[in-house]
Amino acid sequence: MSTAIGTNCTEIIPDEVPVKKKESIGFEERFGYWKTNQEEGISGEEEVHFEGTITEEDIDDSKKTTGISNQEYSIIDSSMMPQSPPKLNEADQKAQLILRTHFAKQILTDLKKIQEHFENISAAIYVDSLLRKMRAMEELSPYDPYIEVVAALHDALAYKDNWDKFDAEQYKGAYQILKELANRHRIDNDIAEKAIIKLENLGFDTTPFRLDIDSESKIESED
Amino acid sequence: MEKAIPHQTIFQIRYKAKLEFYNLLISTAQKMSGYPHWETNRMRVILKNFEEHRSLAISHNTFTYQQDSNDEKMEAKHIQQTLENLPGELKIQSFNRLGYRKKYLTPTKMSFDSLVNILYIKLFSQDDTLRRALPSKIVDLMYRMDFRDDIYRYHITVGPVRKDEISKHIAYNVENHLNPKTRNKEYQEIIKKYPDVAIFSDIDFYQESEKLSLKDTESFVSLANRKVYDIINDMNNYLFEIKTEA
Repeated sequence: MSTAIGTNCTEIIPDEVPVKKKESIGFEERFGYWKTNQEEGISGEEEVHFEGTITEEDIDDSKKTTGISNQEYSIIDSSMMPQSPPKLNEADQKAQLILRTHFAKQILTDLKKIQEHFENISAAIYVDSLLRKMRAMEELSPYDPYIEVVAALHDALAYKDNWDKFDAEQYKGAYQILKELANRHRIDNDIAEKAIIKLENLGFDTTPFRLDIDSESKIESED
Repeated sequence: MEKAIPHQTIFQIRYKAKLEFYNLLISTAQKMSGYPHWETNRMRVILKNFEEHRSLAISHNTFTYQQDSNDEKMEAKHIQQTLENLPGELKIQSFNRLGYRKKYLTPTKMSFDSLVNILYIKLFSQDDTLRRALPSKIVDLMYRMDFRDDIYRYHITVGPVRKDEISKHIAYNVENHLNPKTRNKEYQEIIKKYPDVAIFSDIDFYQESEKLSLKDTESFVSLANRKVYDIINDMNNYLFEIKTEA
């Protein structure tokens, strides 16, 4: 509270960002890199689990935090990717939980209002408010795994103004998923991924900004 | 949940100075029990209790009870004693200002940066335009507000503090609350026990008027205590809330 400047903050060193070859930039590419770093901060290095086509043999031990060697393939400039999260002790995890609660309460309030005003023009006001709060959380609490689920819902709603294509039941489902997740003291990558899958099952397309790799490759080869 | 711990209380009454005060000063001070030590320059008297870290200063236009302790029962007892004795003995009929100020520390194990971030996000506007106008990284802050509530007023200060800056904000009354023979060592021990990181809260609740009666002072004290208690608890609950209900 003085003019002195605090220097307690852990230096944030960006990890190499893993991006695997796939037709669209999906969940694992966007969010897969933070899990192991965070867990190291909590309870030491843990076994890394991968789903899909990646096997243990694919994992370069020297890059266990990313899971996949960055040498393999990259379609994204790593400088454009978010930085990896700082390692958090228990007290700072609580700080993260406090901020999550702060934002989640506002996001949940808007989701509830959208349900109440569904098919009414005023719903747009709450959607606007919701999207702003989601973006604010992403900026102000970027390392909380909860934001991955929030961002997924944000993308589903914001892309091509899709928010008015969902009904009150779908918003209710999203509300329940986000509320349940917000009340968890610890969220890891798997939990966040499952929550995003639940959103997908409700009909929210959480990865609408696709990049068709095959088309891109064709264009390059034609050149 | 982090808990706010009271560290200092100041209760002060201001009144219009009268010449007859000087004849009454010493005899009034003699009647106040529970203060083994004293100091005077004949213009004012300071009564002191080093063991309980509290004092009572009586001067021509104010009397001030102060304690550097979290003992709230002791606080209530001695404020009551002050109000029962001083106005009558000093022949004060009315008062200009009643003040009740309390300083708290809420220790936390979080890093200073995390605490700054929480206070910044929860106490200050996060409007996009404002955030774009300011540099990206917040490193320290202070939340300072003055409020009015009916006839009562408030100065409220809240901010994150590190151990080495706590003494400056608490401003322990070393001179009147610690024994001169052991004061330096005792004070070093007190400083050593301050938390590494905490929220410092200073709530000053007061009432000003041309003519406040003795009856006003009695209702003021109980109200002040309740108001300050509610503010510190409600703010603490708000700042450290971890349950989502919407």
